[in-house]
Amino acid sequence: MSNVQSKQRINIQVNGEWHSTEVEGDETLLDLLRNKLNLKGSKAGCGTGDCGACTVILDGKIVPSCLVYAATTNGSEITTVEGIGSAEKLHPLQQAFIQTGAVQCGFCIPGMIIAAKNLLDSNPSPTRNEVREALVGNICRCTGYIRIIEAVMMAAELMRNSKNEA
Amino acid sequence: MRHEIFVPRTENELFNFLDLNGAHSKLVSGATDLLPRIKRRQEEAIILVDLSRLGSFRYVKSEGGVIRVGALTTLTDLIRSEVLGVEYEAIKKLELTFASPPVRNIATVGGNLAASSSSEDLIPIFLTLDARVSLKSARKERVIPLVEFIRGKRETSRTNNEILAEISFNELKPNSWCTFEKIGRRERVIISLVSLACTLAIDRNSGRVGDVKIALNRVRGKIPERALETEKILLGSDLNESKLQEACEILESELCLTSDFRASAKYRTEVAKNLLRECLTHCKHCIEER
Repeated sequence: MSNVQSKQRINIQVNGEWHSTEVEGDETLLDLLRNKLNLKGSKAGCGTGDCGACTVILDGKIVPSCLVYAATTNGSEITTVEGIGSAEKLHPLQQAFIQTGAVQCGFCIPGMIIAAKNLLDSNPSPTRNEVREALVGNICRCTGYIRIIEAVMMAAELMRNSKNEA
Repeated sequence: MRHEIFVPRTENELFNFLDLNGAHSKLVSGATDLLPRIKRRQEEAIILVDLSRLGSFRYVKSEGGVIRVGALTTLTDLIRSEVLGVEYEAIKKLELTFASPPVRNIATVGGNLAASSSSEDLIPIFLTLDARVSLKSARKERVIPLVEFIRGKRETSRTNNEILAEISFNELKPNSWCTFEKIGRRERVIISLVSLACTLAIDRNSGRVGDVKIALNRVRGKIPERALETEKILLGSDLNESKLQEACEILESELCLTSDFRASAKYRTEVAKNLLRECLTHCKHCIEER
């Protein structure tokens, strides 16, 4: 009937490192990241693109990785929460989330960090409302969002200050 | 259910594949509609053809008074396109009403139209712009009105070896404005209970309605349609209070909104009337302010 191979080999760059792997037709980018590359930071929440817990940066744009077929990402560059900051040197966003107490259960935080980084990369001085808009696709059932917004505002300030010092 | 995926890199690859396997395949690009449906077992897919790598169907351009939108243009790219001025407010407002930023980065214009259901925001908007769609196969390309493309709930006039390639519409004339309102159970990231799109043109000399197009989701059946009787009554009017009242009454008689688990028909009808009044007044105000 068709000449589609059930498995396809793809090459993708994740957090700066190239990986060559075989993927199934119905495998999502989220499945690939979590199960094959062992990057468990991106979370499997709703599975339908509504909760934002699986958000990653794909070729410069934030996407719900649960709705992207892995087979379509050949040659792409992907950044997950593991590619932002390090245990030794936290990203200002991670530092601010800790300092403001914005993390409770933590399940939504990787997606929040990715969406917030995407905002701050293009808008270093957002208003509170712009932060709310940028995080509209990220659901948090614990915090009530106030401290998350404060954390992003604080991170923006930290990043502006460190840029000015440099 | 397991399924296979084919990711064509060129139009040739795509059309050759569709000629052989079109009948057993489903087309996706962002898959933001189909993949959740597959996961919920509402849809069976044996082979998916993912078009997201075909850059040649991704553009928004203006040519000789016609706006052309490639079907694989993402919602983000459509909303932010500089080709569309402020008068295309209906499209600009999708930044507030259509899903979330990550979903808008992969959901496509063609996918939203081809999904052909009552919850698709782009259908009423493009209906009021009198849009046409271009369907392309290996051997030919045909252009049909959007209203003929949308045949019913999840049913379009695309044949198995065709793809929805382009959406086009005439540029709005001066003294025109289009807007869109959507009411859901919360403000953002929600399927609409009622949505209404409206394009209004005011005649420069008389100050009266020169052209008006109104489309709602769930008018008679389960797909968005134009409210043609309401449009008729508004044409040539100055949109005074009694005319707006009359238009609301006609809209109520013309609509056949249904109740479901999201909202009652009565509620939907009241909201639709309010949206009609609000959108018409808003469009008129924006035209006068320009």
